[in-house]
Amino acid sequence: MEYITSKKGINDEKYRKLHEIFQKNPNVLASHYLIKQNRSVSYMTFFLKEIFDYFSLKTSDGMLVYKLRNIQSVINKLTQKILTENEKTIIPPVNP
Amino acid sequence: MQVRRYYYHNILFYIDTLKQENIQLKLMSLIQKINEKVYNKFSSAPVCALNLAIMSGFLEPREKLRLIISCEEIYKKTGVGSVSKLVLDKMTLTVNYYEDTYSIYLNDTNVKALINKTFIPTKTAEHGLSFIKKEDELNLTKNWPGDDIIEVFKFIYVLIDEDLEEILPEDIIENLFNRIMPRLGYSNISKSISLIIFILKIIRAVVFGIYNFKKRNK
Repeated sequence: MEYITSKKGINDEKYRKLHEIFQKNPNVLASHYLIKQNRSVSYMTFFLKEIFDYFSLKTSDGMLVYKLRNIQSVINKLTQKILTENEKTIIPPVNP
Repeated sequence: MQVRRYYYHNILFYIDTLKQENIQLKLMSLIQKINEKVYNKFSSAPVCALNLAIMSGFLEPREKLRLIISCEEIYKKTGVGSVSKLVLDKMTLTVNYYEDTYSIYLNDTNVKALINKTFIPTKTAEHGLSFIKKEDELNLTKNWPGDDIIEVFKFIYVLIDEDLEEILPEDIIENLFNRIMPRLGYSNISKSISLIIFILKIIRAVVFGIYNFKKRNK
């Protein structure tokens, strides 16, 4: 459970997939609908719905909050990438 | 006095609705001041003010990003379990850090916020997972469930980062119980076994207590 909700637990790709499943079939998180088919599975949807709502939480201007939570790791990755690229491009000085 | 309680999944946010407009103005000025201070002196208060501001929608996205970067650094420096105060324009922002949550009190107003740093599911959601039993697994494998149920399982697979394309449709349920559910924190141990484990733990605690007591008396 910790893995799912940690910073590594969500990214754009995963959010897109979850959103696709939900768009295709909104009943996937509707416990009252699923209870007719399977009671145990319908109880599981409480948890899934909470997780999905947590990932879908938006600020008032429509920005997804998980992106804000992940921003530090994204910045770190980009910084690392820029640093390594710089290292490659720097030509070592030639001794006379 | 009317107090509205806003629930987000990771945030409890209280606002006195009668004073809401007044609070918005105060927060705006507070955040501006914080913004100026952040670059001069590290303080832990902006982290909370920032979250408060984000959730109330008072900050522009550009400002949010700028502040959150600074605030992450601040948080690393201050750590947990600390209390800090920031006085700005006669207002005091008190911030209490705990392991999982931090709370903010903005004096002179009724703004109070409790923010969980991580997602904490409700008790209903937590118990919801334990309703699936071995009998259900057998039942589901014998009678192939409808598309809606399969979609629920697919949703779980995506959450756990399992590649759906590599799994055969008939293995979806079997894999779910053997591999996926334990990763969600659900164990398939029967109630009687968990009761035995619980009793053993109590016995161990009692024995350990007696041993320590005797050791001290010697």
